[in-house]
Amino acid sequence: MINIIRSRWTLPVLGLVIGLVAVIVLWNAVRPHTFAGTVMQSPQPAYDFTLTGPGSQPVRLSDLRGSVVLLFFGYTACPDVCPTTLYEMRDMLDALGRRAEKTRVVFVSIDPEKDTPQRMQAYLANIDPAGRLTGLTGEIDTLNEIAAQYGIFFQKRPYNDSGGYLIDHTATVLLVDEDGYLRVVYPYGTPGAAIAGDVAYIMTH
Amino acid sequence: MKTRWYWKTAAIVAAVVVVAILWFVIARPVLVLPRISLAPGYSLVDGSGQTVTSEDGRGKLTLYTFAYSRCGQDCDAIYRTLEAIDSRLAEQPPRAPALRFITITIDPANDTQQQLAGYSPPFTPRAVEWKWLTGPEKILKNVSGGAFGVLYQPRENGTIFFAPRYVLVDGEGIVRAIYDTPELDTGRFVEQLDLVYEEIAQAQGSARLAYEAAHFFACYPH
Repeated sequence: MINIIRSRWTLPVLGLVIGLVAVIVLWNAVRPHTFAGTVMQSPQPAYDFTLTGPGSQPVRLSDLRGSVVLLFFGYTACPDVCPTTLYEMRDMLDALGRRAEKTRVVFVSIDPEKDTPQRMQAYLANIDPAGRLTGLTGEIDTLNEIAAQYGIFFQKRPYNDSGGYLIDHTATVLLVDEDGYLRVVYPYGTPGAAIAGDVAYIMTH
Repeated sequence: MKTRWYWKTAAIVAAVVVVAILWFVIARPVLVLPRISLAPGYSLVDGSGQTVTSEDGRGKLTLYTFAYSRCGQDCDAIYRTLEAIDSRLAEQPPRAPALRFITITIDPANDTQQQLAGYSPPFTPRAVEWKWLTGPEKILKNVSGGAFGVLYQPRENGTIFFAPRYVLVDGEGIVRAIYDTPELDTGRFVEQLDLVYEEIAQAQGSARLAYEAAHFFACYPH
């Protein structure tokens, strides 16, 4: 009896399994990846800029081609949005494993009065002791120009009479791919693990 | 040697998938406007002195134009276009998010906040909110000339040469359409605006995949 079932059903079941596997493989090969952010169809490379990085050395965005770059604009005295996002960036790098070697997180200061390269380096090392976060700063006019190009609004908001201020700013994270094109825009609060999935997809496609 | 039926089945399934993709790309059942670039970040002021930032546009649709209050006939086509769009939208039921017009001055030396406060636009819109914005020259240069890519140059006679440009920006601050023309085809614009509304309304859940596929395969209107 068992032999009859084997001989009658083995091949059809095998055929069905192969068919299903073929459908799944094909579907995974052709379906668009569902990104955690908004995908752009930028016809031109991302706006290039040069700012001051660790050790007061100039860093040019286009020099980072070959790596996926995650750009985030903020400031070291930022009470909540910036550290939260940078911790997500650290988690993203952790989730990427070896792919993190080809991924750069760039934190651009919008508070050049206070954020010296040294201060930024110390701040970022506190968030990611592995030193995988790069802080950049520059002249206010340059930062205004760059921020406008990347859709970043920022504005000082004084909160006391002794010169204390916060800076209201756009908190999106921008993904620039290995060829230097702006590919994905992430709203504030996007989990690092989700961004890691997108980075891994971009690296393999 | 006979081909086994299960290989035939797998080949048919693969062919169906390929044909479905080809059909999607050729028949284009879902059309979208491209996500071209990021609209600039800015903080400017309107005629009442109120600060208006790019963040205020989150969740709204904005049609940006570039002009100046002393523009005269050079801007007539722009105003006619905006009035025609406003009239078309006034005939339709209100939709969310509402479209707004923002005109950024290209003449900050004359179009100060005080000047804009006393300026009467050539028509009063019925359906669309319309704001004129000004600010420091450097910032306006970054925003209009830099990020929005508007070409403008003062002439010796005090007027300003500029190439009219309309830029449609969605609620995520992404440029969805750029029209380089003095007078925009209102019908074409409203049709394209409808595509953005359809995407906002329908790109939810599993339908989002179809819209992302439309972006992936560049299913744009001609």
